[in-house]
Amino acid sequence: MMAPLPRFLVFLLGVAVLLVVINLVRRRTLQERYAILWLLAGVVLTLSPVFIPLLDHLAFSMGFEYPPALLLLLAVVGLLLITFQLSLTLSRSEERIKLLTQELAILRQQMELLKLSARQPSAAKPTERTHDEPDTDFNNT
Amino acid sequence: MTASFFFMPSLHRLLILPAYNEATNLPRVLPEARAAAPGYDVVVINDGSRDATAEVARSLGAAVVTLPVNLGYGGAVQTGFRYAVEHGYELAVVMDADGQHDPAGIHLLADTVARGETDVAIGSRFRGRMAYHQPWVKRMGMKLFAWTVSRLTGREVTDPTSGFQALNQDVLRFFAYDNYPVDYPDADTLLLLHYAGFRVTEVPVTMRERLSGVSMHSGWKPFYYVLKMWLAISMVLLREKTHLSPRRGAS
Repeated sequence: MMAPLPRFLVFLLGVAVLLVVINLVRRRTLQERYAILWLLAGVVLTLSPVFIPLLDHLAFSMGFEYPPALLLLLAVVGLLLITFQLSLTLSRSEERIKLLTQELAILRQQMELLKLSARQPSAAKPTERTHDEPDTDFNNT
Repeated sequence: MTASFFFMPSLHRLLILPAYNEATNLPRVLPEARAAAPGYDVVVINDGSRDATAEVARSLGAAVVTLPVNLGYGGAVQTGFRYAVEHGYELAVVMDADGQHDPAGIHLLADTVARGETDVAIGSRFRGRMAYHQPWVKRMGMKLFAWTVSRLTGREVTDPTSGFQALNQDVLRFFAYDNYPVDYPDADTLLLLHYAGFRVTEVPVTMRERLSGVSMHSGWKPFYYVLKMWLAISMVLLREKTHLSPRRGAS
């Protein structure tokens, strides 16, 4: 059995998590889809003082000799879920960043060529080559 | 960007040099490459360098594509492929900008592809003259991966890590937007090419020590490299088994 004070502290922690997460979503700092797991964590923390006797029962019936072990197990599984979701997101984000970076770099090179040819109109005229880029200068110089 | 077809030279060729902080090596490497491969357009993919790589390359007359952030070797090379595809090049040669690759190999590789003998020509340092050192972990890993790829593809592969390659337009398209690993294109990439129906041939070339600077495979990195490679190869095999791999022409 948990003493009243720790229970109250856990409840406060849960409320704090909920408030912070809700506020972050409200300010659009945290996206809804990432907030859901954290909100769930907040709700579980908030309600856990009420359910702790129940949890103790459950833990004993599942063969846990030390009930908090079940709590910790659940917490670890929850955190694993959250980090896994983050890893997935990170992989996808990196793929997107790579694509954008490449696109940006190629476009910027194009733009610099256009700027250059705008300054020297002669360079802009299509020549007998397949390319009118200065990179062909490489072979002329 | 479209290639204009006013006039068609025999084959429009591009030399791709991925470069990360290579300002000190470029003044030696670029003219050397240019002398060895006249008629090639040259693009330096400046992979978010913190030194004057872009300025140096530009002053030496190369086209420069600067990645605003460092993507790593694979990401830089793939940018070169995209550049090649968008400009309509029919053949591209990838060569390190650090002086490891002897520019004499450019023609050996490109001609093998240009003659239609193969889709990708890989410069192998082990078939060629050996002038090179490697950390032992990486060397062991490379041997193992080479053996694996050789067995699976039925062709002898001695140097799957070689970044000295010539590719035809089909392969460029295949790699330009997808199918190319971000960090180290390697044995897994060769396997992927094989399963996608491309022909891969090794050509002996000479490789040398870096002119200056730190190689990307130093310190603890060989261990990471071997692990990563093992995972990548397993994944290519798994994909081949579980669903249709991207076939040639699908690109």
